[in-house]
Amino acid sequence: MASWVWTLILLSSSWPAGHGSRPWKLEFFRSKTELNHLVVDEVSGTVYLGAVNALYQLTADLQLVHAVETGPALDNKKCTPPIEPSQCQEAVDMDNVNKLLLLDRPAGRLVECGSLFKGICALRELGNISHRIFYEDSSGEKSFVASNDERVSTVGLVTSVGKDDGDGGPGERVLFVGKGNGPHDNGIIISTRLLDRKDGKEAFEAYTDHTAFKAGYLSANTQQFVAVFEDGDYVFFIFNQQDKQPAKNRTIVARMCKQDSFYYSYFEMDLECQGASGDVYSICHAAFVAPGPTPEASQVLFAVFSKDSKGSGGTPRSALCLFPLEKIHQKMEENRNKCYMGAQGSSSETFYKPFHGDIQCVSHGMASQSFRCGSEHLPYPLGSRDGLVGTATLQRDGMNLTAVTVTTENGHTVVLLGTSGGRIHKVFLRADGTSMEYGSILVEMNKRIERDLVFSTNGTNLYVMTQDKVLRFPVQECLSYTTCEQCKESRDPYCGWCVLEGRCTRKINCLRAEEKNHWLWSWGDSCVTVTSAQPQNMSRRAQGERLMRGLPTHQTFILSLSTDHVEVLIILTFLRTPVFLTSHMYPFYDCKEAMSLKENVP
Amino acid sequence: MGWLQRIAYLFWGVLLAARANYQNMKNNVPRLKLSYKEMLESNNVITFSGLTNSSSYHTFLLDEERSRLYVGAKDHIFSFSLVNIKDFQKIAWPVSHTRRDECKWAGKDILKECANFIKVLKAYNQTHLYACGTGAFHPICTYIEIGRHPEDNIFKLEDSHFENGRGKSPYDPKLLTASLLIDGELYSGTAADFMGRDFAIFRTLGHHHPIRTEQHDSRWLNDPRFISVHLIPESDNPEDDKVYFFFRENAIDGEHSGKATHARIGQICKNDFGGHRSLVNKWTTFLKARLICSVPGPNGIDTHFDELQDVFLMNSKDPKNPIVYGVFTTSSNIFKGSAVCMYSMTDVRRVFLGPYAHRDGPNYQWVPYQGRVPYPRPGTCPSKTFGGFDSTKDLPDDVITFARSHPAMYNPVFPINNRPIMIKTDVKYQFTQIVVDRVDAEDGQYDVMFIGTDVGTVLKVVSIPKETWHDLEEVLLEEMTVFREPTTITAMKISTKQQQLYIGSSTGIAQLPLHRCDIYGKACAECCLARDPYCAWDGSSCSRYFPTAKRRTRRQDIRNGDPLTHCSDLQHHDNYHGHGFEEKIIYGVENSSTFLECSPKSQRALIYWQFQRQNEERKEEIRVDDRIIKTEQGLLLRSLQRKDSGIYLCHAVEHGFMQTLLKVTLEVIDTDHLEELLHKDDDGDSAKTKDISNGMTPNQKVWYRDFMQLINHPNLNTMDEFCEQVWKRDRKQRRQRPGNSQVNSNKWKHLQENKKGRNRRTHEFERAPRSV
Repeated sequence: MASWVWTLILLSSSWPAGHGSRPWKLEFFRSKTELNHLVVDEVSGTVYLGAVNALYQLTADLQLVHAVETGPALDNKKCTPPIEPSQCQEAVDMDNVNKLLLLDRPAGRLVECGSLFKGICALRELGNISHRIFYEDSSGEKSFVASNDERVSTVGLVTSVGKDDGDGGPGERVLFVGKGNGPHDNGIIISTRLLDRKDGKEAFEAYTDHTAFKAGYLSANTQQFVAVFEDGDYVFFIFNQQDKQPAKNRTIVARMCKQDSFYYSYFEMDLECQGASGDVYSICHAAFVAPGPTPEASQVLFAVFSKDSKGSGGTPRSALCLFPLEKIHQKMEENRNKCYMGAQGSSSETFYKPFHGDIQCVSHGMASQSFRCGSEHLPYPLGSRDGLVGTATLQRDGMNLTAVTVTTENGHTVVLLGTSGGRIHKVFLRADGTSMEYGSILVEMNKRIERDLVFSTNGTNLYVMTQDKVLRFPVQECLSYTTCEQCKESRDPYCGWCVLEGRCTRKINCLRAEEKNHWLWSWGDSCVTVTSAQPQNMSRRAQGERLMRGLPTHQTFILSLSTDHVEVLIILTFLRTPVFLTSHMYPFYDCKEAMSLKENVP
Repeated sequence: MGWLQRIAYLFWGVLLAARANYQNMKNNVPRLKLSYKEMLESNNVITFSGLTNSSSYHTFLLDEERSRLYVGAKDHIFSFSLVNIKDFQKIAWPVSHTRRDECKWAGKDILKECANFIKVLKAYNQTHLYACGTGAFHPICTYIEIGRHPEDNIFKLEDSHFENGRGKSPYDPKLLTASLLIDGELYSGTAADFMGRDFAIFRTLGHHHPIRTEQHDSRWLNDPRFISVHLIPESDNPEDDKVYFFFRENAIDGEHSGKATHARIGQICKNDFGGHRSLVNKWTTFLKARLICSVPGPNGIDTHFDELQDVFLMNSKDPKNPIVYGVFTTSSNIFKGSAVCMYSMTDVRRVFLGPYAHRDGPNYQWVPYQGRVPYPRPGTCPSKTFGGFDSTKDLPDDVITFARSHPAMYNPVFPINNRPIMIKTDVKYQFTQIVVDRVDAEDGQYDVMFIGTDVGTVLKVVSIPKETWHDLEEVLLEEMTVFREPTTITAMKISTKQQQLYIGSSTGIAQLPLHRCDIYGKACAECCLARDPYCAWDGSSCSRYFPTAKRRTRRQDIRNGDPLTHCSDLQHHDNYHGHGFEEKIIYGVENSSTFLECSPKSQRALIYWQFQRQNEERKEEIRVDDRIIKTEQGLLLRSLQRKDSGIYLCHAVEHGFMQTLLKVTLEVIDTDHLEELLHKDDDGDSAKTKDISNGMTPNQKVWYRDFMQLINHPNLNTMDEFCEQVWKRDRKQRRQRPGNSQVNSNKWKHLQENKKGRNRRTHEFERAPRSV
């Protein structure tokens, strides 16, 4: 086998950058094979990468710690592992595409699944991924988790289910999986898997006999999963589905109760992102859940969409839509109610049985409340075409948005969007729903930004992944703005002018920022200026101290007189530190001199 | 395309019905039609009309050894004596109040759904039965102790031990379930969820892990309705034993344009334990094929009977090759038809050895699979007979993969002779159940079918080869109504030991003998004409035929039903002075109408009327005109004239054999004479008065009115008025003479008595016509 060489190139200043010279060192890691997934351990800061035929464990600054080879291996998509050439004559060396890479921090392990061997998975030690804790390739189809098709996405979520022991115990650790199906896949779309041995079942077997949805063979729909996340007791999936009858691409949000070991609670509906003119962006590319820009800061689903190629007329068109989770829940409950109350007539076209076809909505009274997680006697799984429509917060023509992540800085929502052109767009989202792009980083020209766009542990850095590189960028460059005016012009919601320190900083980096007028936010207060002086002018011969408005505290200052006998630029700095505060043109007069000048006579 | 085809079907259906009507005017009707009342009165049916707190007597288990019929119903299990079902024991097995409340909560009907409907009732071992019920949408199973010997007289629910019934009984009582219990293992085709969508073939109980069909794969099962399950050996080696499931299901997408039902036969190996890595705990030997039951039509468009209703296996000497009888109905709502098709296991096996149905993807056509079929051929049981592998767990990966994606065969199974042995398209009922009895007759062996319908009747049919054994003629011997109200027959068992038939419905159970030879008549010819393989003329009566008894006098001709060659006492068959027919005198009033009732016992007979004028020797055939109308029930003579007086002879002609049924002497009284009669108070000729007012006593239903309406009599009112007048006058006269009331009432009484007596005597002929 070929030995692997990893190169770490330290960047010179020739690296293309949005803003002139960078005051920081850009770190990056390059993989020989295509990168698929990136996760960051929030506690240790360790970065894990899933790539074709390899897994990497890196330090927070992207230094390689461990590398594991996962492929290629003798396989065929049609064959059941373990591959025996006598039984699987078509087996050839195949690449192992990483399909799932998830952290199980409480258990100190990494869950990883590859495309090889029907998408079986392994558990590895978080501290050292070379140490495989669990791997079993001979348990047959029950252990097939991920899609074995390179082009079909798989999403996963590790969480706890089962009875809470009251002491806040973690319960059982399980893996929720959403995946599409390739031509030689197992047909399973959504499933819940064990992560520990239980009742004679091994890890990765179905949690119960009922926790799997399989596509009816003739289900003419294909799913591309985008995201999975949890909210309280619920697990959500976001996926695109290509309906054949009628032909339509739909983005679907699905929800089920975490504790539901029968999948009675599964409900799905459309999620639509509309442009200002009512045009529909129908394909979701990435989604992220974070507190929204409203004062309540309730959880919001941020999702980036594009129009399908037919609707966009060739030029790529993208949009960002926000869906408050509360609204999603509300709409879902409304739908469940409608069906359980025995929706008739046109509603029968609204409701359907996901992955299979028709459903019968029969009246069961107010069952949606009594049976929050569904029941065997209520229609399930349930789908509705009456979904939630969102209006685009941001629309961009000429680019494909491929990744989204959101953070909150001092209660201000910052959205970072990756594009297929290799750029990161920085957007400030105001509470009123308007958005403002304040900057962008060109990561690498025409290198698509992968979906895994992740903040570092303390939120100071952003990990960006392209096809073969992972880069770490600081989330802000406030310090590069040397004056209060530059700082403000940046419009970077991270930045503000730290008056006492005389520099552009994050609020967190400004010492007395909590005190009024000490940290002037780029979107808020104006820089310190002299708005008026008292007296408006002064005799050259006059002496004494004068207060100037807009100063944070009462400070002594020195008047330095220019040689000019009419106007003087007064620069205000702090006494103890030579920190520039502001400047002002101040007129001085000298009557004695004036009297002697003929030209001054009116 | 779809609707064109449908129209074609429809058109063909109409055509077919019309042709059937024309050709089989008398052949397709039952020879004998017995109403529930007639059945009851002739002691030919014993009924159990159910308990007030039970219903749905659908699940039958026949135990010939103990001579019991076990029946699973709503909240109850019964044990009936095969000799007489009036003698029975019962076990109440209801659901708890909590269960019922839960079921009600779930929006189910408390009476029709939230109860324990017994769906599985099987012999478990020497001492116990195994029973499963819906348990108010919470299936539950248990054992029932029946004792080792019949005389133990034990019938007890093992209420200490209940098992989960999921995968054994459906949740929904409306769903059909088929099950088979062999060697302690229960095979069942049922739905395993509350909503009734997760249909599968399961094997539960026993020591092995439960096994089922692949879930959520419409290629395997597509909303099936299971009919029955049977174990049929494939060879002398029990390792090759297969379990066959009969069901109907939605056609697989792409198999048919639009929605359609297909009848299926599915197979699995008894020793299938699922795959090792793939198809774990799923059948690896499941295969299914379509069962065709259709009538060829013009331009090659067949009329299909696809809704499989019931299956009966007629065992032959070779246990590997029973004959499969299937009852089918049409899927059409307009064109209601039923058919019986017969299949041979050889044909079934040939189809399972034929090409697999294959398609490359959802948008492709189904084609016969042309590629290499992996070895061992999917569907073959692991055994020493056919290959060197011991268990389905050892099946190679490619076999499993192939089996998973190719559960259906490309070729369908066609019926023997490629056509149904019986169809019924011109009636308002449909077939629901079938049992078949193989009967030895003088001229060979005949399969007698007992077919249950959705109107509570049982048809007794025999298939008789015409020229060759490939050209069968179905003879509908009897149509018997076995339930008081029209109700769907949902279960049927035959006891050859008892020579009885047991019939279940939602309202009750009926028991009837397989044969009623004496009902055919008291002459050799009638017995012969019946063509009932059970019956023969023994010289003095029509009685049960036993092939072992060597009696020369026994006369039977099933194949031809020709009395002329078989019955020697027929030389006087046209002599009406002999016995065997009724003679009577009827008086009619001039200008009024009269009805000469004469309907043959056999519905197949044609009636032929002759008239012999008074004092004349010559008999002439009665010609039908405006005045003389021939009906199924008899002859109607309108506005009688004096020249109509004479002798009327009613003959039945069947199968080329003529028999006189009735001789009526009609005397027409002229109107003047009538006036005289009506006003003559103390006329001693009471008989005449009686005849005039025959059937018109006020308390009796004015039966002729219905009849007249039926034949659209223009002067119905006139006739009515006339009758009213007759009665009024009669009453008036009596009222007018209070002094004579004593005398009169005596006279009236006498008249009544006279009438009663006569009624008794000629009961058969004076009753109101059968309802039409």
